[in-house]
Amino acid sequence: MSRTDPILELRDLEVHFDTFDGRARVINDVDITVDEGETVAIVGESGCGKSVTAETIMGMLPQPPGEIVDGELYYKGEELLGDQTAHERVKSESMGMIFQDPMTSLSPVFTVGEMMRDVLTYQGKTNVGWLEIVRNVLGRRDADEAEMRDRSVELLDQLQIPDPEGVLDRYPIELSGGMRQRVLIAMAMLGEPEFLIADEPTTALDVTVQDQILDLLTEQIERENLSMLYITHNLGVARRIADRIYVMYAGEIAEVGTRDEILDEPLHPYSRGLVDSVPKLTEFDRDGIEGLLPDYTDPPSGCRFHPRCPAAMSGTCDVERPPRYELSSGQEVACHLYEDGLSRAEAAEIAAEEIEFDSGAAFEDRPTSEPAQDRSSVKGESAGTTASIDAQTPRSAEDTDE
Amino acid sequence: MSSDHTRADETDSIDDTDEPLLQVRDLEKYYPITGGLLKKQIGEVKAVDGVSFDVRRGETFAIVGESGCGKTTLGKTIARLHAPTGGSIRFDGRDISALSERDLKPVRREIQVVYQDPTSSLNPRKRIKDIVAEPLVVHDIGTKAERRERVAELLERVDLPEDFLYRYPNELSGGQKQRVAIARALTLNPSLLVLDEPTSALDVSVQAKVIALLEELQAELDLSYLMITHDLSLTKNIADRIGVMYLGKLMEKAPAETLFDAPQNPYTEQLLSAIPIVEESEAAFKPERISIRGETPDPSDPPSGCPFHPRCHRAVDDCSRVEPELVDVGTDHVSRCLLHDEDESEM
Ligand code: SF4
Repeated sequence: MSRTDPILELRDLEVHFDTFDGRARVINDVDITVDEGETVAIVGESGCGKSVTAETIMGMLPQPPGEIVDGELYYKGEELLGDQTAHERVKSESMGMIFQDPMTSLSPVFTVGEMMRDVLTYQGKTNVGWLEIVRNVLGRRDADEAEMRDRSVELLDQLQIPDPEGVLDRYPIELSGGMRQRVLIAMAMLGEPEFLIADEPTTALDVTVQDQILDLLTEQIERENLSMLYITHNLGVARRIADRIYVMYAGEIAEVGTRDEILDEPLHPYSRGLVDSVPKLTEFDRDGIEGLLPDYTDPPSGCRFHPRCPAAMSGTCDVERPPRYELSSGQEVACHLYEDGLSRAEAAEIAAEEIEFDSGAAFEDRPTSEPAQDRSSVKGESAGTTASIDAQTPRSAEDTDE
Repeated sequence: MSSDHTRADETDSIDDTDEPLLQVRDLEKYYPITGGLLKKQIGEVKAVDGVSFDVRRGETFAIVGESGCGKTTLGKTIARLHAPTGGSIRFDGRDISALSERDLKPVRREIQVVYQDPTSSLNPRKRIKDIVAEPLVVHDIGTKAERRERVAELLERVDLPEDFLYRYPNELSGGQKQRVAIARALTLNPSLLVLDEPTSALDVSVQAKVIALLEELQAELDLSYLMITHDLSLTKNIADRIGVMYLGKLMEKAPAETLFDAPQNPYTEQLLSAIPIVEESEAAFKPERISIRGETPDPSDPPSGCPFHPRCHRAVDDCSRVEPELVDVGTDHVSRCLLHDEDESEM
């Protein structure tokens, strides 16, 4: 596969958070590349840092408590992390964003049509002044209005929204979850972006609705030849949509490869545990992964996964941070089991031999560090400060039955 | 209310020497919709509409469906947290659908519910030991020492260390909290657990172990499970039999294997088709890809005819007019679709 130039390149990202328990070193040395026309997924469980990474790219990281300690973000060669104005401009001119919960990203007091019109009016502009808003409202010509309406209707129609004209006059609350998500995609498409970032956009939806939305999203991507970065905890969704996949664990990249490489034969012990744990139509492994996500204020030395890793080698894994070894296939794995230049077959053999999760201690999430009493507040899975990390990632658990 | 549990097409038990633990027949739970100044009833939501199935002793029966299909209401009605508005629920040979709160008390010991979200189902101000002992206190069982012993035993049973007794829920991870919820559900030695999305709030690496625990407990304690879930892949791995619900109705019911090998109902086909598979090898277990169109219906205003017809890829003209009945389509296998009547010869 010949790779074209990257449209987006994130290098050496390091993000810290100030928490009650101290400084949480959440994102550690993360690199992500998205090539032109490519869809890349970041997968990982709650608290792994995938949403923080996405927020950084979207220029939406809350600072404080977050702080970008290091890193560069290039969009078509232009650096954005050091230049807020450029970041804002690129965002509004070239990027479309789709979030998980349409209800919080759509305003409840405006109709769909009003929101779409505003996207078109202010597209590419930041810091819109009051004067400009007043001028726009007073000076809006019927012809422009009609044109904006046409464009909105066309997009809603492409997204298979029934009666798009009628939907323009409705409020978000009057629409179903699946329809709201499609409106959100339409709004992201209005600005004619070249790059989309989607953060768990189908997580709250039913599987049939999710399927429909993934179809529509793929259609848009192909029609407009877009590039996309897609954040999800759902490995099946990643298979549906992504060309390449980054697996994140504890704020680091564990493994990068093509969709099939990562999902059919993961090499990193964490990715392997993750893939094995998902209930499948074939079977699944009940062993799961021992332990909890580490405390970010005091992450494990060496490999951040070593306290939970069934293949950990003492003296190495707890001491030295594994670099990302590059296999001859281009796949990269941050694990001491491997070395640069191995073929995939060789690496797969190592994985099969060395990585064995067992059910020994059935107690899945005994804190792995010292007795963790209250420290658990920074851990991925629990309450407290995690809100600022990415435990807000709700899972597919929906049930609005009543 | 009618309790006609003899309708041929819905008698579930193959082996009648062993009466199923739970027999649900034509169960209904309707909610009134009121409106206007006088709060007059202007309609109703048929959250559960004529559902029949059995849970046999020691089995896992799964109810699968999407949001709004009524599966949660169904579980709560069976646990008698809601009173049904029609139909019958026989538990261990006895109709519990119309029992008074007082007569229900012994039944409540036998049927316990585990909810999706342990964070909201565990009282944050109580220690784990008190949460797990609570059912004993409510039912006034045992001395203090006996209760303490039972709680310690339960905690061990769900693989939590003893020092967790003195902790509060917020000091625990999601998986640990769900183990506490399971321990509490077991306190009174129930025979049926209603598991309402018990693992869907957990990360998959944690879910796997909780599922393993539930399976172990079932084998050891001879429990029967009614599992309510949206995750079809999960049911394929753990359920013996599965009922697929849509808009308050069972659309199809079959042994797990049959449902995945030979689904008969178009809605089941769509659900299967929509599962995003993780490994290439799973593709062999999926039906041909169906492109899903159409909008999810409003439960208070369900479509005429077959409830699924507006989204159905097989719909014919009659589907919007004629309501299909559940019909036998194989051994222990029923489905609701007009097309079954036409090609019965193929059966
Ligand atoms: S580096 Fe060592 S501890 Fe880390 S994943 Fe590899 S084997 Fe496990």
